[in-house]
Amino acid sequence: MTINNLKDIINIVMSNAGLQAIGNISESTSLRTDLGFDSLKLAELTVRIEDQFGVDIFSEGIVDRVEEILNTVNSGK
Amino acid sequence: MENRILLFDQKTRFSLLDLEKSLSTESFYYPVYQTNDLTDLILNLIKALHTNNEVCLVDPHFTLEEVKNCGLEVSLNKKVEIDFNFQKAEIILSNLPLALSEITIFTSGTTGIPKKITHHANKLLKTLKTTDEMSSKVWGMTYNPTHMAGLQVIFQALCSRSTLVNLYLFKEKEKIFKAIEDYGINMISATPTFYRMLMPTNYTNDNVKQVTLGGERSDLHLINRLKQIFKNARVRNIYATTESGSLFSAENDIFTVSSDKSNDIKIVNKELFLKAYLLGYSTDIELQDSWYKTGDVVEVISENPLQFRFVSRISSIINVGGNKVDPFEVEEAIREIPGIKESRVFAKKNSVTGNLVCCDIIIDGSTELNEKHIIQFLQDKIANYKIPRIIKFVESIEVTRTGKIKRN
Repeated sequence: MTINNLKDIINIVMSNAGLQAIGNISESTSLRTDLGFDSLKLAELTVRIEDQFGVDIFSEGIVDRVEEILNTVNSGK
Repeated sequence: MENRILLFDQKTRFSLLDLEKSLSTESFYYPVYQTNDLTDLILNLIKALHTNNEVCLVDPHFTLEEVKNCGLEVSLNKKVEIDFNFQKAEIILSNLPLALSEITIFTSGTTGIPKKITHHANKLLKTLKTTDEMSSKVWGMTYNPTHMAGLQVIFQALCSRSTLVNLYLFKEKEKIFKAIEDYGINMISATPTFYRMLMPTNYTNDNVKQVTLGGERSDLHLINRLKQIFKNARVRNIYATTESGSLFSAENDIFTVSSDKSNDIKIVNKELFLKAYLLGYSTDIELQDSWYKTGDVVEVISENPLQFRFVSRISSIINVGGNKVDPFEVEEAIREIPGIKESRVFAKKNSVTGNLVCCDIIIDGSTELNEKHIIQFLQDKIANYKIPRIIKFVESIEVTRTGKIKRN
């Protein structure tokens, strides 16, 4: 998973919630602090990532930063 | 005497004379029977009831593993010799409600191991109408014949010597409407899901006299739409369970409990309980002080007389981070959106909120719709946590073996 793949999925969640798409994210972007994700948006994000990449990003605890999500997906946990 | 056709099934037909011929040339039946052929299933049922023998029906969709879990005491599809006391077919059929047979069926097994329930034939058949007028009826059979609703329709048709037309395997609405016309079907019984798949349509019909809905929650919108399509039909909504058979019937979505049944049901924490004596026999049913917990959530409309509306199955309720979501309520809200033909709301597990509400949607092609349109429409209609987060546009909705919307 690339950072752009993740950005695209985040933007689907943002768009469905009626929010403005984000232009850029960096490895240190926090889903909750920077993007304001609540538990429902996090749940939607995790289901969408699992559908596409087969990895449950929260299976071993809550991750929050973009870097943590990419590491979890790319290590196939 | 007229050689009435008892069953039209695809290209085959089975008449009163065929029944007499079978009973005069064959001397066996199957006590435990699994078949895909409706004619064979019906003939076997008649043989068993005519000779007061027990019969067990196994759903042809059951896997080998499920059959193994059914706890069968006799081998599947093993012939047993019996002697038929030959009589005219009309007499055999009119005597069916007096049969001392036991009929064993299974729950559909969609939520676990199939439960085995044994009913006394005479108790199951005692409420059927067998007037002469009923013999002119032609029934559209849409149900799986090995479950309660299907059996009810089969027995209703047989006991009143009317005609059955098997529509169970028909998937396209045009074929169903054509069969209704071609065979002169005037009685239809089906799940709300079956009827919803007939919409939208410009089809109308003056010939159908009765339209029955059962097995799932019905809504007023669907009931009213059916009244527009089948202009001369009486629309009946049935509450029935595999364990008890048919219990209540209503003209709309509100069931009224008659005074003679008022001591036989109670509602605790919105769940419907039935007195044990209303049920068939089963070692798989757990009772609480002679009450059976149906697993059905109901809404009480009035206390005296007791009136209720069926809301949902407890097992269908989706828990999203501690908030309870009734998938039927969400589906009803989705159906309000122009351009939606049918929807299926279900849960997807996740590690954040436990479950997330998702849905599959069939559109009718009249309007351009995407995920965002649907979510935004629902924002004014239902609570945020009830709104499906992942929406897929599909060609067909997954249904269970008994024709209900699949939830898991």
